This record gives sequence, structure tokens and C-alpha cells, in this order.
Amino acid sequence: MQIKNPVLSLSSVVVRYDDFTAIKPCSLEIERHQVTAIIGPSGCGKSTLLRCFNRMNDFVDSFRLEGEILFEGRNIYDKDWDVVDIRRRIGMVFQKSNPFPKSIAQNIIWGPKLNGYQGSLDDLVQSSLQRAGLWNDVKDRLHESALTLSGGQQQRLCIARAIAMQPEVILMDEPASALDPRSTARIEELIGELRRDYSIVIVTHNMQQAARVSDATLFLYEGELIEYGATDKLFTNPDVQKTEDYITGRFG
Amino acid sequence: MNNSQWKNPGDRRARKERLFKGCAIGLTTFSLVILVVLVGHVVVAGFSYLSLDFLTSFPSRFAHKAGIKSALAGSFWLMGLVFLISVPLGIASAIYLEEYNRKGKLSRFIEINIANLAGVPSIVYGIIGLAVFVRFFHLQRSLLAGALTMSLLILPVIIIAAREAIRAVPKNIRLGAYALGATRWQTVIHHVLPAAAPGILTGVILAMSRALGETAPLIMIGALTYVAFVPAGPMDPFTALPIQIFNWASRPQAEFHEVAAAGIIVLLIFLLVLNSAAVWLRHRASKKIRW
Repeated sequence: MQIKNPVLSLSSVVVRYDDFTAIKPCSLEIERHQVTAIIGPSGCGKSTLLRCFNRMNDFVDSFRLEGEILFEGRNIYDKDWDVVDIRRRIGMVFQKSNPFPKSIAQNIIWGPKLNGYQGSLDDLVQSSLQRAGLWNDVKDRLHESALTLSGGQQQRLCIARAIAMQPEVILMDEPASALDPRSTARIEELIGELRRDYSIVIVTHNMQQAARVSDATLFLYEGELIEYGATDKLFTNPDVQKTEDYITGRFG
Repeated sequence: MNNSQWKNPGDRRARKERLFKGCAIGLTTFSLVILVVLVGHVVVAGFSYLSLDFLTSFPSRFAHKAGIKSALAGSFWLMGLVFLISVPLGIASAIYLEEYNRKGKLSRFIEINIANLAGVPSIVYGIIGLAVFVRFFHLQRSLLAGALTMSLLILPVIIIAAREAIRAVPKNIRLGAYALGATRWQTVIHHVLPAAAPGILTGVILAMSRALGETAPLIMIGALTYVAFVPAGPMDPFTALPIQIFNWASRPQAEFHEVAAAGIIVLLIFLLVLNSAAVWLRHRASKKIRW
């Protein structure tokens, strides 16, 4: 697989929690304006790797990282680079939807306001919700609590909230694993639309989902990068036996 | 199923169950009865002295003229100062320990010490107050010295309650805020504190009601027992409700014991109001916030 225009480049990245090595030496590039899926069995380091990209692992005291992760040519773990700036440009959607216990509109504008957004907040609310496919559902109750929304709507609100920051990359950590099939389908549809403007990295334990939404897929096993390639190729004709065993359900 | 291998334990189990239930009811009733007898005794003894005059008169040599004006004013002053000193300190410490401090050995050490401090007898705080505030800082027997001593006493309680309330805020909410480019402070002030506020407030109220009822540390630092004026500022000498009650109760004349009972009724009413406020807040918070 040819990477033409990488948005993230990892070189010899190793992640340790105390004595436990969560990610074994790993070098790869992630293509811009594509959906890249990370698959693998539970505990293989998918989320750990994803959280390296916006330094969410900083909150884990035992976390140690070696190597470097370049974003726009600069190391994310560079001490001079304000982590707040990185998180503004690399957004994240979590497994469990986590809207703030505030109104729908407040959820959208909270992040941009903190980070000095100068434009019209009303327009931002509308455009973000439209992009997340939620506008028609909520346009008449923007000032109601976000907690009144259904699970799928809450997750789309979280995506809208991430979009409102106008990030370059959106990280998604099993964004549909807690949703029913219809809401899941809507989220997958949404990911397909968003790939035009954002680079998306999605962690999923659902292989059909990875096959449906992603352009490239990365298979991790016990912290080791086993195979990385175009999704079509990886799911139909993998190079490595272990990948084939995993995607055909022989283990995992 | 082979019946011969199974002995029916029904009878013995049921008897044990009844016995335990009986014990539990008996013990609960016993403690309630003691409480009712004590409160009843106090109310009967003190009720005739309760009046508006009792609240608005200074203490006196004559039981029927004695009142709690200065004690009431002293207690209000004390509560106000204790609130101003201990609440900001307590909440700030809790925020630091929960949100900023790395969970290492030092953190464990501090945690254990705070828990221990909450169990130290109040008289010990009185001794510290006497040595540090009264003598070393020359605050004399002032309201400020009393308030600082009382603040030391209830700080561990506030810190522990605030930490628990802060810890109960789901981690998801913090991560969501950080992922949107918020700093720790912005996350704390916009999301963690508002969500933890009812819990923190409950802890604060319970701590304040403890400070309202404490006597030993104030006696230790030498709060006065006979004050015929209302304190005008934090550097004035003072008395407080529990001290006034203690003073009356230790007099030989029986009438003064009844005056003391009237004082106890007033103190109990204040404590009851404070504790009900805490219960109400907790109830309201549990209904309002659902994650």
C-alpha cells in the first residue's frame, strides 16, 4: 500500500506501562483524508495506540513512550508543543458517548469558546450538527439538556462536538460498540461522509465494520503490528496467516 | 435428586433468621429510646426558659434573666469565619489531590494522614490552637484564634468529603473535555466542580455542624464563659453556644441546669436544620444528575 500524503507518521514507537510493553516497536504512516481502521482482539493495544495520537495516555501515570509520532512534520510528544493545541487539531470520539450535562448547543460551543473561536457560534452549532446528521432531529430543542437525547443521538452529538473544533484528524474509539444496529449504520454512514474533509482513525472490534467503513486496516496482535494494508486486500487476501485466522474468526 | 442426601435446614435457618431480626429491632429500639429519653429530659427541663428574651439577653447571675445573646452571636461569627477559612482551603486541597497530584507514594502518605487527622480527638486541636494561634501568633483569645483552630479540626472532614464527591464525577466527562482542548483548570471549573458541588456542599454542611457543636478546643484556647457584649470584629474575645451551655451546666444551682437545657434545645435546633439541609441537598442531587 502506497502512502502518498501522510498525516501521522510513527517511527519506532514503543509504549510501556511500567514493565508491560503495550505496543512493540512500530513504524507506519497514516494517509490523509482516509479512514484507517485499527482491529485486533481485546487487550491488543488498539486503544493505547489510538490514544497516543492525541496524548490521552498522559493521564496514565505509568505510561512511557519511545520513538516519535509526527503530525504535520512535528513530534506530538515534543515538550514545547502545547498538548491543548494538539487536542484541538486531533479530535476524539469515545466508546461511551459522553455529552456534558448541559444543553445541546452548549455541548457544541464549549470547546471552540475555550480555544478562542471568533466566528458566529450559532452558525457553528448549525453547521456542526448538520455535518453530524443531527440537525433535523434537534433544531427545535437546542437548549434542552443533551442527556435527553437517545444513545445514538448522543454519540452523533459527540461527533458534532469534535467537528466543531475544526480538527484535521478525528480519532474514534469503538464509536458504535454501545449502539443498536440502526444507530450503528447511521454512524458508519456519517464516517463515510466525513472522510472527505478529515483524516479518521477508528478502533473497532467489529471486523465487518472495519471492512465497511475503512480504506486501510491495521491489524494488531499482542501489541505487535501484524499487517497493515488496503482494507480490500487485507480482508480478501491477507499476507499473513495470523491475519487470516483472525478475520475468519479462528481466534479473537 | 436423592432426598436422603439432603437434610432440610428450613427450621433452624428460619429460627436463626427470626433471632437475628429480633436482635436488630431490639438494639435499634434501645438506642432510639435512649435518644428520646435524653432529648425529652432536656426539653422538659428547658422548655419553660425558652422565649424571645432568652435569645436576646446576655448571660446573668440570675437564672431567669440569663440569655444566650452573646453565645449566639459568637457562634455565628465563629461559623462565618470557619466557613471562609476552611471551605476554600478544603476544596482546593481536594482538587489538587484528585485532579493534579500524581498517584504515587507521597499521595498515599498524604491520604492516610488526612484520614488519620479526621480521627484525632478535638482537644488535641485545641492544644495546637493554643500553642500556635493564641501564643505564637499572639491572636489571644480572639474569634480568629477560635476560628482557625476550628478550621484545622474540620479541614480533614471537608477534604475527604470533597475528594469523594470529585471522584464520583465520571472519568468520561473529564476525557471528553480534555479531548476538546481544555486545560485541567478549565475541565475542573466547568465540569468537575459543578457536578461535584452537591456532594461537596453536603460535606461542608456536616463539617460546619460539627464545628458548631465542638466545645473542647474552644475551652482549651480559653474562650470566655461570661461575655456581656456582642463581638464587633474577628479580634474580639467571644463565647459560643456549647461553651455557654457547659458553663451553666457545671454550676451548682439547679435553675442554671434548666437554663443550660434551654441552650441545648437551641443548639439542637440549629444542628437539626443544618443536617436536614445536607440530607435535602443530597436527595436533590441524586435526582437531578444522571449520567
